[in-house]
Amino acid sequence: MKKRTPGMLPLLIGLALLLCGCGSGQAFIEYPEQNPQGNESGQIENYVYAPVEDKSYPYNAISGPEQLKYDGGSLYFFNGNPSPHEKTGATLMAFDLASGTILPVCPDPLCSHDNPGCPFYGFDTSYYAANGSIYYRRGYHYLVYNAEGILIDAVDHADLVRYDRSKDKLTVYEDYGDDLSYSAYNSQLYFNGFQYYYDYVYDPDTDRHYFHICRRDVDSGKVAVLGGDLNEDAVYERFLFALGSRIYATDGKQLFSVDPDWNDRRALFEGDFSGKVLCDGSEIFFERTVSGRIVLAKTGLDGGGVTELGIECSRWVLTDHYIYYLSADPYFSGGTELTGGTVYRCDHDGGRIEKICDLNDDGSDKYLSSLCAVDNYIYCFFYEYRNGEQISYRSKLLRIDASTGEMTYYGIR
Amino acid sequence: MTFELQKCLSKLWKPLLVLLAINAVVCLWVTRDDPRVLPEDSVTDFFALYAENAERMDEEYRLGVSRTRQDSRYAPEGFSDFELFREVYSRIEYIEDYRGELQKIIDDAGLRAAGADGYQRRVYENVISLYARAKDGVVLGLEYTRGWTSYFGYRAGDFLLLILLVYLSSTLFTHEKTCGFLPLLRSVKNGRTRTAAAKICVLTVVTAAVFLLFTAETWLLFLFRVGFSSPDNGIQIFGALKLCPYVMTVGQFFLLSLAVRLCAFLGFSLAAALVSVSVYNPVAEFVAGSAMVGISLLLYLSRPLDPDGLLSNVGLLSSLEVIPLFARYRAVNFFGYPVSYPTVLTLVFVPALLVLPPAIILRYNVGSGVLPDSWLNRIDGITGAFREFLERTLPRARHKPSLSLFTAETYKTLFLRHALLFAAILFAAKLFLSAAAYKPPVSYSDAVYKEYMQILAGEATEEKRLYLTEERRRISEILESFEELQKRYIDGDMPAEEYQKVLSDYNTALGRDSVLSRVEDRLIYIDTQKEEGREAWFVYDTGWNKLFFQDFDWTLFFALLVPFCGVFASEYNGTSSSFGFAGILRTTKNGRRKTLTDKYLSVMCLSAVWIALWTAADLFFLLRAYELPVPDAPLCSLESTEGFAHALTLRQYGVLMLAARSLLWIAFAVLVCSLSEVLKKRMSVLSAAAIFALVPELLVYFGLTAFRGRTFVSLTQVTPTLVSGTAAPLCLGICAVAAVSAYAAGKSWGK
Repeated sequence: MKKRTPGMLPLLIGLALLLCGCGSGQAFIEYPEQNPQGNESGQIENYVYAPVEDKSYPYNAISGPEQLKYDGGSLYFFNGNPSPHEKTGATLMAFDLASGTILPVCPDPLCSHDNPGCPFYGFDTSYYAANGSIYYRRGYHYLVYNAEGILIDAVDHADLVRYDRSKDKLTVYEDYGDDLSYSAYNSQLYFNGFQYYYDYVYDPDTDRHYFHICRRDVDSGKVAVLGGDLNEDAVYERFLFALGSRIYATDGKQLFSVDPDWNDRRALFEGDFSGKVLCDGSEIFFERTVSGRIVLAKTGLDGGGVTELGIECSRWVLTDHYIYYLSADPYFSGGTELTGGTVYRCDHDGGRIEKICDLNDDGSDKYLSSLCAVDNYIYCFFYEYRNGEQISYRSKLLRIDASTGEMTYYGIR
Repeated sequence: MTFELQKCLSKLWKPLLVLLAINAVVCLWVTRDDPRVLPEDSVTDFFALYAENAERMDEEYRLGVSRTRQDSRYAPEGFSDFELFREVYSRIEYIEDYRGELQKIIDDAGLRAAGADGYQRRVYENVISLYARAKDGVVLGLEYTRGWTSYFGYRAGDFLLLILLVYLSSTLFTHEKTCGFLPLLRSVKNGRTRTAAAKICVLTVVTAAVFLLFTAETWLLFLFRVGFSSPDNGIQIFGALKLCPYVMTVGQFFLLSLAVRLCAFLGFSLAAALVSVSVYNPVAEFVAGSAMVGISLLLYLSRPLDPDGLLSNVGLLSSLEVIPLFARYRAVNFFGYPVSYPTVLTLVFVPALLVLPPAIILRYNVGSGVLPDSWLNRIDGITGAFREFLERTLPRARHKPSLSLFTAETYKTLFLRHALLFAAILFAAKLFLSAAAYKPPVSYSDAVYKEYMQILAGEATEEKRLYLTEERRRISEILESFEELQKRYIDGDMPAEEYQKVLSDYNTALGRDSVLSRVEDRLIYIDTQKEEGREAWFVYDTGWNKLFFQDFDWTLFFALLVPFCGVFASEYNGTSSSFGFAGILRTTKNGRRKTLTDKYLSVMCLSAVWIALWTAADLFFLLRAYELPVPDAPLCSLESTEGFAHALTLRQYGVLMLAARSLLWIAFAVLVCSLSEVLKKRMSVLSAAAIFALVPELLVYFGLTAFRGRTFVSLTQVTPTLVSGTAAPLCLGICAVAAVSAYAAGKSWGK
């Protein structure tokens, strides 16, 4: 019987012999490998961090397109240009300010972030960070190649998700299937476990979409449409911030508060609230544009009169103790006019103005594209110019020590 | 065992030779010379040259190498020296980056581990230890890596082997049952456990042998056609395995892949054998085997979208590919402890290989040899009730049996082996899938797009261009004037009611802005078409695109394949009448030509009804969810059908597409029916039809691009092949295949 059994053993031996002789006759060259290259994410060397407790009030509405966002000790930004059509490898990064580590929010150290297995693949540049979670939309046109590198499939997919960093858990709120088109008003408010947002809500009775304020329970994902009947556009207001158990909103002129269900509307007072409005937990700070310049003012929650702060600027952010702002005066790089070349801060009354630094002190002219202030430090991205020519955009994150004006750059790739 | 082996080989050698031949052809095609790529020998020689004169060539590269293809010094004709140098330096860069990349991963994991606990911390610790070991232990040599990537990526042989194993597993155990010898065999001394054990031994030996045959054939063809680079280099030299955490050479990985693949094939054939002894029904075995391969294929196909998923990495096909298992460290959470995917696979394979043989023996010894009676009774009950219902509703059928051969054949096809019930289940699945595929769109963007396209529907007249210009102006004006209007409201110059209108307009304009851009892009497309001598209109195309670009219809495929595979085969066994009834039937007056014609007519009519029902289901759900407006618009109004050469309207194209698809499916039904006569066994028919229809598509997926757009699957999707201009000859080709097979079947039946 043995003789008739197919020759598995000879076959195996034959294969092994062939394997031994399969080389092309050329032994490979032992190549001396170089030392590891330095990389720009990971632990920042010689990182010095001397914080002075000074945060922003956490219940202001968040602007989605703002590139830099602070939440719970981390500064978030994306390290490239996410694109729904290209595998750019861009992903959301978290800068742990206390430890000085910059790492992708994606928890997988082996992930290349260039395929749908990464929770941040197809990441929309408009995103929200609140209470340890990131809320964002994903949309991608993913091309699938086989082992030979031949295109075999293309997948369109879009959804709206939450990524809970503490649990490394991705929750899909809305699955848009292959519909990559998207319209949304990029401002959201996170308060009491709810996400307040604007959306075009479909009414099957009238077969129409209506613009409404909506509220989603971030844990259950359950959505409630707020602000009146479904069959008419109901958004004539812009939510600004939440305080106590009330949400404060404006129609641009009138400031009013509502309960979390968007009922019990109480008019507070009138003013010009058409621009940026922020709260520090006790007072409301707002801007008006006069002759192309932003002028800052504040008022109490009871509407007890508007105080002009006497601050003119091109951009500003609010923390518990300071208003950080960029100068309104233009300056020139070659023939190109730029604004916001100097960083200042003042107290909440517009007094104690301190010049922190000139952004072009270190030889390159900068136009800031994003600004965030936390614990006595300012973080920003910038367009860099030399002789009027733009030479880079967001290749580095700039940190400015508000006490000393010292500028430190961190590579973000 | 010797007897079982002889019996098995006598049945297996023909299909084995055919599949080996197919595998050889595919291998030869895959390893053909590509004139666009540098010849392997030139690159190998250049690497040897570089090894001898590294310093001089480094200097030469530093000073600049010719990028033109005319004055090349080292490169063969048609290529530049720079391309050759890049071959070397891209590998040098790859090797130089390797340890840095691992160090980055180790650092990253170290930083994350500090803030993590439990399972996640253990994962990071494993990553650190594995990659630290790889960083220290992996040796990457500079060489021209050839052969291995293509060899490891070659998958076509796997499918051929899987088909062979389904055939092998089923024939090995069902033969005695089919010829009615099983009860007798069981009554003899060694007829139970020993026979089953011998069959399992044969199955194992033959599976291993055919696996090694296929592997040796593939490997030798790659060796002689492409050649292999050194097996002593680290496996991480290949990009797909750069992050492999294990220290092993290419040769070791090759042997490991052999072991993994052998286990996977053995597991598959044993599982198929278990199904075989459980149902003793060729159709059920085929469906179960297809389901096993189909599910693992689905998991495999989902891997690009879920590259780290457990199921998509340790499924049958992924295991056969091996590379995904070792491409990087992946683990599953097992009560807080990470278990790596190779370990998971071992934990699946070993118990499966240990449990399956006793399970087969047990089933072979004690099983009734058919589906459980309770199942059969239930199925019989359902079909019987339906039959009674038909007889009640059509009383004449009960009292006066039809003398029409056509009616009798149709009745037999529908009720034989519960074909109608099977088709009904598939139709229910079709309804469910169609409802899911054609859900009404609720996207705001699509609603606005639809609104614009309804307004603009038709030719791009001057009025419509004006409308678009005006709409763009209106939206821009609303967006630009908002701040000023808001200021008026704030200053008290505008009443609240009027301001609400302003806000409403603003919100609307904001949402419409990007959609209007899409519509404007369509106008640009229409103008481009006009310049090229084609006419295109404005059409809301979401529904048309859904109609014209449908996926392959698996439910219809099985609904045509399974019931029709026994049209002739049933005459050759004892299921529908006495054993070998074909011989008796053919001696009767109408037993040859008329029976043959009526069988074909019956199959064609039934398949037409099936196709009509399936198409109606698609159209019902599609029309419920989407509109198909402006049917008289030219087809190239849809950007997706831009390449279509003929001037048809959307309606005409829709009819053409449905007609072409129906024709293809009817041709497929005819082919199945013909195979049923030629092959005379259901199992063979099912396998042959599946090979004809599906294997080429799988081969395309795994790199055999010669079949791209020429497979049955892509043909029944119609539009892609119609747009590429290859549909007509291919449709005619399929119809010719069906006609030739029908002719061959006619000859065979007439003997």
